[in-house]
Amino acid sequence: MADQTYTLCIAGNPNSGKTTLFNALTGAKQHVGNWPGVTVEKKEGKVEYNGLEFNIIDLPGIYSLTAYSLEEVVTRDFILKERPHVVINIVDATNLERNLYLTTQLLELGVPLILALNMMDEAEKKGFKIKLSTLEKLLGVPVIPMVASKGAGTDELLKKVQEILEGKIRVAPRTPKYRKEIESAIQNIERALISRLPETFIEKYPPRWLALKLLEQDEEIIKKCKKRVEEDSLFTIVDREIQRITKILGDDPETLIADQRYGFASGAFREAVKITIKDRISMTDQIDKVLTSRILGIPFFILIIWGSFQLTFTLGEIPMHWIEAGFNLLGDLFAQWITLPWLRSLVVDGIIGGVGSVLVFLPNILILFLIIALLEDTGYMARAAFISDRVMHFFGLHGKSFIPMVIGFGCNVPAVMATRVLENNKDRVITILVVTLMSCSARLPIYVLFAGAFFPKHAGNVVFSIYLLGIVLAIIMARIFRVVLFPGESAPFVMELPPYRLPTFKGLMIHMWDRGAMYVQKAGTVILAGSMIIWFLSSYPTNPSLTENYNRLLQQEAARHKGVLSRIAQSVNVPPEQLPSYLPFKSYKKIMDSFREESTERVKKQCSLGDLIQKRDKTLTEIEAKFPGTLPLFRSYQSEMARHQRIVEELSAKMAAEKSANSYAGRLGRFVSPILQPLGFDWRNTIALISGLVAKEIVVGTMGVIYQVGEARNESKKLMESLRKHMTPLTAYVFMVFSLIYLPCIATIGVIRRELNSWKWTLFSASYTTVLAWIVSFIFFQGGRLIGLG
Amino acid sequence: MGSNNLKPLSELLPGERGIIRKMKVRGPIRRRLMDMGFVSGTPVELEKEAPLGDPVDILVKGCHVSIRKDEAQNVLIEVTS
Repeated sequence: MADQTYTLCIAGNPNSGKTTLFNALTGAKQHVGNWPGVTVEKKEGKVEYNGLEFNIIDLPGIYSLTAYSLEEVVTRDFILKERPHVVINIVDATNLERNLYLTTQLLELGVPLILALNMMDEAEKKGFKIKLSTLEKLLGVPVIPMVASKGAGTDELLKKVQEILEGKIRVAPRTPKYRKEIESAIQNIERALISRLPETFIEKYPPRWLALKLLEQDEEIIKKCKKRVEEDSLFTIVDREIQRITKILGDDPETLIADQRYGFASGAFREAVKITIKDRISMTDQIDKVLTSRILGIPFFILIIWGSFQLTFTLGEIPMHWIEAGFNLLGDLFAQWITLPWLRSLVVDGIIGGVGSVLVFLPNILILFLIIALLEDTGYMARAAFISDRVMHFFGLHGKSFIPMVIGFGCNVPAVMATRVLENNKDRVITILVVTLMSCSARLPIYVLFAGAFFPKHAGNVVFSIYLLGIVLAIIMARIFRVVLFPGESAPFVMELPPYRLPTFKGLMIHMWDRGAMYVQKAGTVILAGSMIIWFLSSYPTNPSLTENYNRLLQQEAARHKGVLSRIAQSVNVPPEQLPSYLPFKSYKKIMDSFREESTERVKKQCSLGDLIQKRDKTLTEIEAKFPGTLPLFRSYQSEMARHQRIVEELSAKMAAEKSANSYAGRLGRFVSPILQPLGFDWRNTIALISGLVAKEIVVGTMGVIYQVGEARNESKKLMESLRKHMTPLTAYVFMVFSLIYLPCIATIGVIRRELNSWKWTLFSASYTTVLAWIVSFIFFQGGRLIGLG
Repeated sequence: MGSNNLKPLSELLPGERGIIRKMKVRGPIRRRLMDMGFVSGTPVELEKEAPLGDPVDILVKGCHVSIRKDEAQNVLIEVTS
């Protein structure tokens, strides 16, 4: 057993193979979470090597150590505060010059560093001859060549780490020397810092580095220093130095420092690398000639997006049905085992139903994340953003917002999760806020029902208009949010178009599984709790005071039915429970049934029924002749059975309707119903909308319960009739509009909470959609009335 | 060489090359561009425009970087070929 765990971290540019190296080192033993307080993903994994135990942290991909993005701040804070034993800087050897810019800044932190030179095979193909020893000498740190995607070089890397930890090698990072004027400014500020800042702070943040950052006007570091230095003299010194440099050198220190870092990086590059082949047209350029070309770029883009959408939802539908069937089976099993009614309802409807409603999305989410991983790892995601940015920018969004928006048409839950591709948090917030306006497939049954009932001739156009309304609203709201919520913030679009690469199978699988597991664990808890609350609201109180005692009415009906049956039974001299198996009755029934079957066939074929009727009557009278007097008795038996069934169904439907109207959810519906009255909705509509909070599919089912037609499949015609009695085409359309916009389902809310890590934004999303739904519905309803509709 | 020889990066034609001479971009995006290699003295090439005309794909220090024309307008170039 190792007696100490050493911390290693991997830092590097995006697309340099950071995560590939991390996966190669840790295998499946990893844990994905978030950095405390921010939504930047944090990956940790463990590996044992030669008796040493390492805790490896995969830092976010960054280009620099400024305070431009959260990722950069997270990275440098981690390195400086947590002081990992060794920092592994992975660089893309095919792109060494630009990658060395970050290396230069890591060297300036003065921490033990190893340079992992990744993709050596590709670099060689590209004609790069890299002299490792020269590079080691120039940078002052060990350099390990590797091909992370094949696992080559990982042993050498860990061996080097061990040698550093055991003190066999000393790492002495070399840093750029700046121009005379800047160096003297650094020294002046350094002196000022050492005399003013507490020692504990200086221990963490090297003073030379702090001085550089102050010259660069780094907001984070200025804030940190201001907190610890009371007098302003430090900043007077900094300002004076900045002004002096700007005056002498004609540019601000920030630019000059960046220039010299690049000078250092490209100097090292030129000395250590020999390029043997010149200007070879790369594979990437050839692929891009097609995929981002003026003519074929957009068709390919649409094809790929359409394919992703189709795969996610059509392929996902198959296991979705299995999961649904599985949970139904489980529910039935538990329904049989548990005798206590409230416990049965809690377990079957609340828990199994709730968990089921979360897990049915899992296949979609896994497939979606596999596709997203594929698009990202191959490099197409950046091209998709490149192509769609023109349009999305016009809407106040980002090129990368396009994919979540499209996925939103399938289901908002994976759409919200897909916004992870956006690096900028503001873009992410806005995209998540408007993505719920993309009409998901769960809302479609509502449109189908209402459009079918009220606009049978134009159903397609009506449904399409609702989808269109969602898109238009998303565009308008995105622009409003951009201006109102994040005023004055430019939404920059500076994005690398990385070379196309073949992703590794392992990487794809890990990527897919991480996200899927996170969905089940974290979102599951919120969604489950939400579903149980809604279950409670809609099934309690269990014994509300109803206008009529339905149970007694049902008992009375049962008694009446029994009486009638026993009278018939007496006449034929058999016990009542044996009536169905009483021979003549059985024969009559068989004849009637087969007549019904055959006659419907005939009617379909539009043939005459004459001979069928004759045949039936003949066989009936034959049996009647054998058992005299039984035919009239059978007829009254048949009509009694039908009557009984009708009465029981009617009473149960009425009872269910009243119960749901009197449940807490129903009372809530009645209570808030006045708010929705200006939109033309009655309490029935309100209850249906409230039930839709769990999942919008439920709205139709609830409508069925309230209008006392039950939920059975063949009842939709009946439901449409009842709807036509209670609503006008105008209110029906407004109802569809409201269903489109208002609060997304519990599952989406749970995922928004989890993804934005903020209750504030979650509540905002829930409330703005509902308010917007009210306003838009109000305009439609009152406007429609004004022009004489409804 | 006067500054009237300089041309905004956004006005380069696809395939045209030049050297960055002046970064007029301000705000946080200036830092971002610098981190991606946009510093004066660096050779750049406008690879292509996106199918809808914006953004543009710039080859800088061996990397393809996509930026909007709004930003490219404030990067001044001395055209070399």
